[in-house]
Amino acid sequence: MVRQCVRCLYRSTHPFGLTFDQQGLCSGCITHEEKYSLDWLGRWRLLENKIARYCKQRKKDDRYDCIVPIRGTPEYFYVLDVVKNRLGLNPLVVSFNSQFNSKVGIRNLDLIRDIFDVDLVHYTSNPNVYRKLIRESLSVFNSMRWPFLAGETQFPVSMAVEKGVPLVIWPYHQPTEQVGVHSYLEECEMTRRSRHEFDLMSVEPHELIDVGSLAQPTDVEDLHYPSNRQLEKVGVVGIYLSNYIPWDSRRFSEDMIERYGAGAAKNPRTFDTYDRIDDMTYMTVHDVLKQAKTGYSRVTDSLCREIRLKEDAKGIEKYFQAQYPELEIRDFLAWLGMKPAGFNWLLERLPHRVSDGLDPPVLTDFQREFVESFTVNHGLVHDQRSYIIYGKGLEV
Amino acid sequence: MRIIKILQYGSGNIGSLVSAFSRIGFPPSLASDEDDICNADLLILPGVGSAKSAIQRIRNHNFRAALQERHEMGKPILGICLGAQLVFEFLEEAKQEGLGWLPGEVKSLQGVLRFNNGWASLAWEEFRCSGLSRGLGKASTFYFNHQYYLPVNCSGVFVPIRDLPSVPALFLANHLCGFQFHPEKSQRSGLIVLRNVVQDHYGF
Amino acid sequence: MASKRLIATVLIRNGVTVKSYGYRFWRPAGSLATALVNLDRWAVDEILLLDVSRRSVIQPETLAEIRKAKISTPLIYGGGIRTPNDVMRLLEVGVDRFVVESLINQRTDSLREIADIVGKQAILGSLPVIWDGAAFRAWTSSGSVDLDVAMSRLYEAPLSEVLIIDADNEGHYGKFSQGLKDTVLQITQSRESRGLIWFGGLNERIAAELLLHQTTVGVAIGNINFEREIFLSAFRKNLHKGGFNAPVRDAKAF
Repeated sequence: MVRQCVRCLYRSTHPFGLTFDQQGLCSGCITHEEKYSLDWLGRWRLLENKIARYCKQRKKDDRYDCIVPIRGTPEYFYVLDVVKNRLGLNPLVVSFNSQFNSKVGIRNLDLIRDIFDVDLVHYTSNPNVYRKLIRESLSVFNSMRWPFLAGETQFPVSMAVEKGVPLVIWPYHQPTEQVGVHSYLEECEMTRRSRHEFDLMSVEPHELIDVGSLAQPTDVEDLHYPSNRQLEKVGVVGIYLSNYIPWDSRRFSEDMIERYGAGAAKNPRTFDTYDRIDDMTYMTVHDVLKQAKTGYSRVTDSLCREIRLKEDAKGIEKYFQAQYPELEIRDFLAWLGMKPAGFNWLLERLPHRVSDGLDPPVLTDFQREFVESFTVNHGLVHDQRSYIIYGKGLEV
Repeated sequence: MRIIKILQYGSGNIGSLVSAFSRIGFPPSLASDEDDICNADLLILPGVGSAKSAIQRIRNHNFRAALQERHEMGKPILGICLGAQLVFEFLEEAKQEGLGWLPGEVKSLQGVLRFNNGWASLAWEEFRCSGLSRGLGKASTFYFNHQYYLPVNCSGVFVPIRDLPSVPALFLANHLCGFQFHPEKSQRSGLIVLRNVVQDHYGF
Repeated sequence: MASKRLIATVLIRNGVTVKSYGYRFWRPAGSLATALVNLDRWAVDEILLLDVSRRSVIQPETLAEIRKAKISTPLIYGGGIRTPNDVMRLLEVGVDRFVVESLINQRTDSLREIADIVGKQAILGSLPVIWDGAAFRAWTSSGSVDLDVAMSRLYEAPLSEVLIIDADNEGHYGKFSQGLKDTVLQITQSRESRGLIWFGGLNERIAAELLLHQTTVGVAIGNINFEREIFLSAFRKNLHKGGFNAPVRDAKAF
């Protein structure tokens, strides 16, 4: 029996799992309520103390205090603002290349590097290997995200081990933000288990390479999480700022757009013009597959976030889920080397129907007003037909 | 290619044993009739629970004769936990005879808590001399979960638990070998000792 | 003597792996197989898997997840064990020891048969304890029972160890009740010994104190295993080096 939260749009079928209290409120909403009830001033002090403990281990001439993974979105300006300006740390900023970069994403990455005056290490896998792994990911998971998530969740940790820098600072723990797997009071840390469960969809890199697989064991060599022995030797720990700061992606993004000119752009399948705008496939190809697989898409996640801060918006969800990004999907298939018939076959096998663009619902005035309240200063995420692997960021 | 078979007689957690032997590169099959019992290069005798039911089940499956024949031919047999106890003359718990291949009586532990449950190291010198310690050390531990214990006698090599010198952890007696602990549930040490008994002791 | 055990607990409820808070509130905790494999990787001394659904029945999905995990760490299962057949099914997928509760109070013949199949050393009795405002009481499937009575039944049953659960403080790190410990130890003092395992709101200091007591054979830790990467190995090291000298397996053993 599928249960629906009495407040947000999540159902018990959420892939991360969902529990409910006796009033029918989901575990995600219950954790979210802590944003209003906890002593956040006290929690900020907790963060400062924790940082001081880790930095005490650092020697005087150690160059970096922490590793900070980033993406080219406004929210990550906020992360650097906290790390550099409020915590006074010197981070090594790292970024795992999605290889589907948008212009606004590249620009944001460069702006972060420039404004916050940080060293940035950018890692790009061999594009041909990456393409192979994406095909494998589609075949195994009906999702294209596995290679990026595998890389993004291990690269900062590997850098921490390599550079001997114990502290990795992440913005938030997605499963906690979405479905409340932890309370903020528990100060959860980065774990291999969480990566395995929620990012890798329970398939480790060496397990992806199976009989009949296109990929070889060497293709996933740069996706392995460091061993516990390596982690313990350096004392690596990953913390989430959201355990110490009540996380509000929208407010933080808009603050950064105003203060630092962070770029924001429109996506076809959601009202959110800040989230994931760095990746041209996230809100198109990936989002369509996600909806076909699970019945919900990124707009659902964004709405749950907003609902917990605002009001019901089922109509907005239906509107955006009806948008079929035909051109963007065709561009991706051309890149991948897959025929449209192949992609359609994949979609047809999945349990939920995705709209082909006919008769999208009409937004009410209130809903349209809400959608248009998100800042756009960079036009569309998809403002060109090809992806950027390496891009010129700022005009010098 | 040496064939390892695990006796299937309704006593024991065979799945974990299959998994363990597979992980060390010796994927076993199951012995479910007299031919299997005789043909295997190494026969594993598993066992959990009461000695009485185990003996009864061996009888019900008509395995007694085939097992006796295998023993008399001197073909390798490895007993695990209760399986190791069954090879002795008398089983106190069952108040009856075991397979009788080695002299001695399997008796109940005495003492405050009457059960030996948990992880323990083995007496290192004896363990080293047994030839089963390759890749292991003094601090290596194994998982025990038993109330009755193996009798020591001079018909073989007995390696005691380090802190319980009168309680054997394992024995080697020609083609017979027995582990009181559960190698399939002793994590890394368990897999290594299994590998050692198969490769170093039985020479596979 | 075997060293005392550091046990990791995993709870499932209505087919979902959960973090539990006083058995009143639960959070989703991912998949069972992943949780088991992770604890196996950490080489905990035993894994205790408890099904805390209201009317727990052994689920085929649970059995499938245990089988899939293929762990080499001893696994204890509790929740919904009523017949010898239940035990056989669990044995088949790799469960080593069994926690019983309702069987102790109700169907004693089944319990004797189960003892025959797996041996008393593989059977544990469960004793969840609550505070009712005036006294500690055992919280059983047939309602709350006088603690002394519940303990007597446990001691008459064919089992080797008793799992004492502070049900009120379970899930709240460091909140385990000293009063509960004192009450239970007083009741068990006059009886023939059974090994005691303690669970529910333990922290390092409490665990160490309990481990130093003669009849304690193990302590179990739950939720926090989902929240940290290197928790239990640090916990184990601190039990040795933090001045507690608790008799658990040394980290050097791995």
